Amino acid sequence: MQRRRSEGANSLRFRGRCLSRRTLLQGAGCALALPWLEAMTPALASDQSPQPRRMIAIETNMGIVPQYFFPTGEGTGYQTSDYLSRLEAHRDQFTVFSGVSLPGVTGGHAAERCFLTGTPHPERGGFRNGVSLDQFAAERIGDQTRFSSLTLAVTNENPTLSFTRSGAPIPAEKSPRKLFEKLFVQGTPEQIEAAIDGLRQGRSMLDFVQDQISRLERTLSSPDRARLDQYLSAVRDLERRLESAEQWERKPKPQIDAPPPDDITDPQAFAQRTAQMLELVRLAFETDSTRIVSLFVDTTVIHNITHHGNRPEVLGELKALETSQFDVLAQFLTSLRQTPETAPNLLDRTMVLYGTCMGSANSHSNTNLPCLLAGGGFQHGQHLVFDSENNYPLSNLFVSMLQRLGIEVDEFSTGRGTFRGLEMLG
Amino acid sequence: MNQRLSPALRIAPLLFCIVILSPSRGLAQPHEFIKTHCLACHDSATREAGVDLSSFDSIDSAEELLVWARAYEQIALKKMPPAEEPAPSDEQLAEFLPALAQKLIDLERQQRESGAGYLRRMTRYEYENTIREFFDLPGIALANQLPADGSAHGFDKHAQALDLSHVTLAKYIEAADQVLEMAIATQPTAPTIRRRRISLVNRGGFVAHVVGNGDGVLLRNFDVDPLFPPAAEQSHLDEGAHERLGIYERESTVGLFRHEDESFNPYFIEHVTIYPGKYRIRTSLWSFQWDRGTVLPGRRTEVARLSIVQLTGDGRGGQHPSNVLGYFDAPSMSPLEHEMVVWLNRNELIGFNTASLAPTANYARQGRAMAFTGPGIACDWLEVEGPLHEVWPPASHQFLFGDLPLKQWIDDPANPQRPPARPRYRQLGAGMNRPDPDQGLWTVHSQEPQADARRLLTRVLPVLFRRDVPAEQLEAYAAIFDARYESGDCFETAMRSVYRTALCSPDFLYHLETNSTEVDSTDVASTGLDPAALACRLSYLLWNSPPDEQLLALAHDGSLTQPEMFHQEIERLWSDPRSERFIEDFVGQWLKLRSIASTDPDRTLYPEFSPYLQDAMVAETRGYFRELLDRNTHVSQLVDADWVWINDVLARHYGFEAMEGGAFRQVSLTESIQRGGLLTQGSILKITANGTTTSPVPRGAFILERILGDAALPPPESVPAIEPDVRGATTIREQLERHRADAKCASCHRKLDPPGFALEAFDVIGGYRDRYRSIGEGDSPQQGSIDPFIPIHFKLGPAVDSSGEWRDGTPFHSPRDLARMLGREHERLLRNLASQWIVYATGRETGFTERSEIDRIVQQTLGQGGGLRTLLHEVLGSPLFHQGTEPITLRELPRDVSHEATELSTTWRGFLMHPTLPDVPELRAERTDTIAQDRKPAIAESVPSEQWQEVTVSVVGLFEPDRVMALVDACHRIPGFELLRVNYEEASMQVRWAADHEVWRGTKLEEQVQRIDERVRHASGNTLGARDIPSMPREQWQREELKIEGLDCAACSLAAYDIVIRVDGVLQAEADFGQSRAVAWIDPTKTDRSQLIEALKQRGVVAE
Repeated sequence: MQRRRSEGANSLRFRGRCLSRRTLLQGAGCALALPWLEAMTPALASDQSPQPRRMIAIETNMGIVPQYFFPTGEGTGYQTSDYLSRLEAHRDQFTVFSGVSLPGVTGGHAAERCFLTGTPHPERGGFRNGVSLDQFAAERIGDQTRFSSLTLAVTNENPTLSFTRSGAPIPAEKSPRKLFEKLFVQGTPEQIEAAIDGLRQGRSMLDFVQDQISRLERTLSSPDRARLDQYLSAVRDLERRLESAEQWERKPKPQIDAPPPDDITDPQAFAQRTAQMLELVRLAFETDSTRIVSLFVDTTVIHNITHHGNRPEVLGELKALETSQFDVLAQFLTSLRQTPETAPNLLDRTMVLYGTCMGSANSHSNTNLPCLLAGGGFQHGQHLVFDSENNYPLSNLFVSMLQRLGIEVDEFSTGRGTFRGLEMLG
Repeated sequence: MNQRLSPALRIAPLLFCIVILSPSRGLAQPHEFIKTHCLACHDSATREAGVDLSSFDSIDSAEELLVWARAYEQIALKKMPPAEEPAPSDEQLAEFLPALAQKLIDLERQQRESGAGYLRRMTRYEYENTIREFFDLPGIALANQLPADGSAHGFDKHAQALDLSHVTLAKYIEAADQVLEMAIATQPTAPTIRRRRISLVNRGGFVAHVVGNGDGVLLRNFDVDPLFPPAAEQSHLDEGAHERLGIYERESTVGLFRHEDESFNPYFIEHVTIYPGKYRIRTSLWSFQWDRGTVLPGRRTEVARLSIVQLTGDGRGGQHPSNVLGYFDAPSMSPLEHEMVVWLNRNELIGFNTASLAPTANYARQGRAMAFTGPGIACDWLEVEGPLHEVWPPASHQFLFGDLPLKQWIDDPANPQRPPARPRYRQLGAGMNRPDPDQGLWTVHSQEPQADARRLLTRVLPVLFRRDVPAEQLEAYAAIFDARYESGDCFETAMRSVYRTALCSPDFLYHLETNSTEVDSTDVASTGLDPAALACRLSYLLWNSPPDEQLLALAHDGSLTQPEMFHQEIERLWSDPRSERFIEDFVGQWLKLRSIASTDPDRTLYPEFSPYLQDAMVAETRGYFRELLDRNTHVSQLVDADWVWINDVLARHYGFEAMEGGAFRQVSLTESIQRGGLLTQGSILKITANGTTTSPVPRGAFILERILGDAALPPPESVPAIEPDVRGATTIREQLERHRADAKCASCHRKLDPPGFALEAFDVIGGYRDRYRSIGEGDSPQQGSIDPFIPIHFKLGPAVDSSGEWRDGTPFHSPRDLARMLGREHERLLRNLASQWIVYATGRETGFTERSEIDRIVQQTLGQGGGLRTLLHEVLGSPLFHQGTEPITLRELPRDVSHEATELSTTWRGFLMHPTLPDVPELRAERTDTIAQDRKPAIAESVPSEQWQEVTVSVVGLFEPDRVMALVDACHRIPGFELLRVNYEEASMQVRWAADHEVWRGTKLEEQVQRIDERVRHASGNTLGARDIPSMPREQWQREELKIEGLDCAACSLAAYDIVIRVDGVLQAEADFGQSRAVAWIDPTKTDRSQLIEALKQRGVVAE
């Protein structure tokens, strides 16, 4: 449509660093200015851990063509595959798995919301999701950074990988530009004061509604009271976040040189959009703005070609698109590796889980998931092979990852121990 | 077909008779029975058909309960134990079955009591509708900003789908602010109602671009616009030149050939809404056949789409979120005016599409529009009139502030207060509509703030909370006001804090379905909803929004619980246009219509698929379902009917005789057409396919689960899903034979596959087929057999076999056979729909406990003729709807309830995707002037002056003799300025300007030419200008004449002139596409002929 305007708008790009606060404060002055509440953590707790450990979990939701993903041979001497050859430069820095899946997580596409929760049977009526790996970790170690975690998605819809303890989905940030503003753009002192005033008003309002609940509860049956508890915990969570937001509000955000990105809306450009997001994730890790990230890469736009029916021309198209996704992953690993830190580089202390919810999108199967784990300080460089008929639980990997983050757990979701064959370093 | 509602709607005596059985009956007996008759096959080791019944004492999951409920059914129907095993005696059954039922009911109750409860918050659609109703903001858009709700037992209305996280809560706070911002008046008078007529082609718009390239044409009087010849070998040059000459502002009709696509979104960009509100929109549409430059009568009535588009972010590119308003007829050569009232939010505009045309692109075609023959849709204009406020301050404001006056803000030093913050209204996007002048800071004024706050809250809170509010709660809210007001907030801001809190409180967000206090409330199961909660449940079911005043009044005086009144109200709510929300929301989930767009049909295999076809499919299913209920047709017509509800595009798609126009109507089936009932509708067939291929399994599962209410258990984990393979001849049907050969698979697939096999006769977009389409091998179909303008690249592969065997062995050969068989399953169809309605209406699933009551509902309905609206009354009359209320006795239903279409005085022809708003007849603005005239400066009055300055200047833009009149006209519009003489040959003019006139005051002589240039450019819309007379004597100028090919278009001539005159060293120029030439007088020391040719070539003009 507006060709002319769009060219103009293109040259305008980003107008300055006060944009986000202005956006927050526009409208009535009494409007509550809510900063990025889903992940605010107390400001004063930072700098506790001199050598932070981090994780990012990435799911691409329309499968990965298995015959191009899985390598042949086992252990360190495996023969790489079409897709993994794109990561060959990092061969010593990742482990690829065969014969793994999330026990009981079935239902084809429905499984996409269980990639980090591992909660069985999402396709059934009455399904209730559990806490996701990232949120479980964020509850325990997220208090050390401005954002306890980042929930991100490359999408034009509303999918997410992250779920709260009560199984409520956490909406993902979809705009790299907004993410950039949240991470790095500081408001003016007046804007900060106005924001703090708004936060205080918000807190007193939450105090009030909390009081209302006890009055309501008297009229309810006990299961219904339990439902209202969910409201109550939402109020408390939000209050806590408002409180930390207030503390963080006065602390300066990290200054970086990178320009803010322009959002891309074309759903076909998912690889490019993923690259944009991952670059911001790297900056967020580097500035220690957060240590935990989930990223949902929505490739529903290629849904119809994933039902390729083995037609060679369609498979070819699909392969080209998926290859570009692996190129983006390789680029991300490279950039982490090139970012120096106390331990040789950022990748050494950052776990990158990459995978998909369907073993074959063509048939909607949820077993034999294409998955790999890079970085984070494990003995990598190998292909761990498990039984393709009777899969090994991927949820055990989540236990290993949690332990790597320094969280002392032996179980998570359907995981009942650490992942067999994956050794931690140092 | 139009069956009368049966009179005898009665409610049965007490249900749950099974519940009454003594729970103490010994459980030893069931153990014995199970051991004797079941465990031989269904123990944990054998697990025949995947069923393990050894867990009787430890049933603890919903899944196991489901298995046992099925076992109960099988035994009760004497299908189990199988015939070859010894059968239990009737006495044994009579003892065993009640005991088993009791056990299952007990277990189910335990599970429910330990479950997560049934307290529901509003779905995001309920939230949006609730705000729309309470605040009279019928189009405020909130739902999509709230986190998506989940789905449980098939619906977002089930309590388990309605989780709430801190993120959702934060979004509610934002939404509340947005509501209050829109609701509260900030100016003393309503925004001026403006009525503008705008064109689809406009400045800076993409339509101008595609029209210049031949994907459309400009028309006048059913013929080519003489000032804008269709693009041919040469596309039109430089939209800017056309804009400056006003080519797009002459109210020409725009004829488009091109369908919306990834890089083309036709929008009416000259209206971008500033003030949210009701707007009356009108448009005039017709169609034609274009034949290489000639306008001829069209092949049929074409259909255009109008949508409401939200400009987001920086407004770049297309793909903005948009709501389809509807599809509107464009009859051949006969303009049809459509009028309707719609709600437009800030930043919204109207989008257009040539919906019924096949994709075509002339810009890439040799000879462009002059080489194209095909259909086009013409849009004469679009009128936007509004905002239409019936009262001021608006109803939303009065809801919050009653009759308190709006006053201008005055700072009071004695009582300093913070003024409310105000948004600034400004022009948006490319819109030419402007905001009214700001009238300063106005706000609600109160003489007695504390008392007024209490008075307002006493009225508003019970409305928001949908029930009575006790005094102490009111006072708690009033205390928020007091605190804010004392802290220095003004009255409005302090009230906003209270209202925001109320909108985020659980009282507003949750459906608190309290029990009646009239009845002893110690036993929850024996009490019913209190009348206010019952009114809410009814209106949130049938309107997806809160009760209106009448319903509340009936709840208040107690008459709602009287059966006659209750059923009258059901009828009243049903015949209100708001019931369309029930159709949309319920069918959207029950039949999964919400996911109609989740697959994109393969473009090679299904080139005829279009957004128009998809929207028509959705409208068909919604419309059909409404017809069934309106007419109270027999339940069998859900799946088996001898009529369909279709429009033009569906008639073509389904193979009916041609129909004219987008409006839906009833058409009777002929023998040869395999349609009728829900299952043969395009929507269902598309939703159950994946875009490329069909499989009988998901289609069969859909029918079993959604239509017959027979949920299939998921496949055993060891069975690999079938890998679809569409290379060559292997059909999925052949692959499925494997399933039927394997006993483990066969137990389910024997049920699943047959209905799916019958539907193999339909492709992924619901078209009928007797051969599969293929990309690889096969015969080539005849080109043009779909639509002459849709090229075919697929092949026709193997033949389709849509025959099979129903589970009882009855053979079928076609979809009609299947429909007839399913149509005989009256009880299952009714039971399923009743169950779906109960889940949808109450947010509670139905399980084993409810089955006997549902059976009773079904029998009652069948006894009265089996009509679907009868079923609705029976379900709503059932204790299941009233949630355990004491049985109420229903008397006769009032006889003469007929569904009357709501009279809207607006007129349109086609079909709407969502209901529009009722007309606002008393509000009509005079049409404001056209935008072209808005833009032109007024003719200046001549002023006497003592201080005239005379000067001769060179004129830029006199590219042809006609432009002299434009120059005279432009000079007339410049105050304190006179044109004395024009010399076209030398492109110069002698003028004088009044140094004492305010416009020219302070102008120095050395800058006079520059100032004259600015004034002339402004007055001529940048088509003319002035510069110094060249210093080089004319006799030294060199004349170059170039031959150029192209259009007889003044604006293109201007564009060519612009190119030439800007070449450094060109002193004067002419351009005339009509005579195919451009002439330049150049300074030979600075430029030459080849540079001119090069400059033209760079802009796409071939010159010699």
